[in-house]
Amino acid sequence: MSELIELASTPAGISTLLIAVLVFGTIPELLLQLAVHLYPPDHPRRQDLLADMEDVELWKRPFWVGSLVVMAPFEAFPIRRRARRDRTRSLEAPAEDLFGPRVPNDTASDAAKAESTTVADRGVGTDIVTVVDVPGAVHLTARATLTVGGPAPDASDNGVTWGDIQRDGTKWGEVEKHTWEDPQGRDVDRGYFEP
Amino acid sequence: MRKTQRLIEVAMVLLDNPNTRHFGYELSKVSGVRSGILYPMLGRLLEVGWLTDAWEAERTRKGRPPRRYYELTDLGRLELGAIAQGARTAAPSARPEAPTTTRGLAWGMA
Repeated sequence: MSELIELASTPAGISTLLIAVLVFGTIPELLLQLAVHLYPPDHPRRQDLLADMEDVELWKRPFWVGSLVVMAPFEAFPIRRRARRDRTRSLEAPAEDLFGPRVPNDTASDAAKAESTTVADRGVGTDIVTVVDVPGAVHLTARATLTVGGPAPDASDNGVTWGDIQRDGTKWGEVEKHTWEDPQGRDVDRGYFEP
Repeated sequence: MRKTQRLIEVAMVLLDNPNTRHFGYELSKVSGVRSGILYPMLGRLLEVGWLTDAWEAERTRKGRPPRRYYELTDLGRLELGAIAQGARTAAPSARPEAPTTTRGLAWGMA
């Protein structure tokens, strides 16, 4: 042991130790943090990889992370591109497609929650939700702007009506907001369309 | 779903314990499939409905971020079972009896 300490206290030993800490500790973690940021913010892969790295043995981390860093752009960019395309599409979709069917209350089944629409996911923001009319569409013929009131989502806001959807100048439906915690402890904020 | 050797290796691991849920690194370690190949593959298996995923419960986390667990669906059991069976029939020696982990570890990529 004393020999090891002696070895580590030489200039060459210290630099070797430093390099080892960087190669097996800091650099893989830093690279993985950068790689997961290539995925959209709410993509499960982010959490998935960060959690799994905790189980990877230190000496394997450079290889494990290296493989992921090479793969991440090829997986993440198409996902981002698809998300952007969906967002554009969603802004042109009829209200029924933008917001899922109304879930009666917060005890809604997981399946029902999964089917509903995460407003933030669709990229329409948490402050202003705009449903754009589609010329010729039978579903929604008037432009409707939904204004989301209040600050960040709060569980106590559950069931609050976000805004009305107008059709031909009259109220046609409304969107209700429900919030709950997802498995990562983040607030999930969803809107339900109620004709 | 394209039938690749990697898919077969992952299928074998999943089918060894079809009712058990696995997390990504565990699958990578046992099957010997590199992380850069495994995770996109898991994504595709989820998309086609052969796997389902769920997050680790709060009480089992022990201070680390929650794991994402993957589990075979009934459809997955059928489809991957057929793929694995096909692979076994086509080349009985294709899958070594010893765990493929050895190879992955040898390359330091598990």
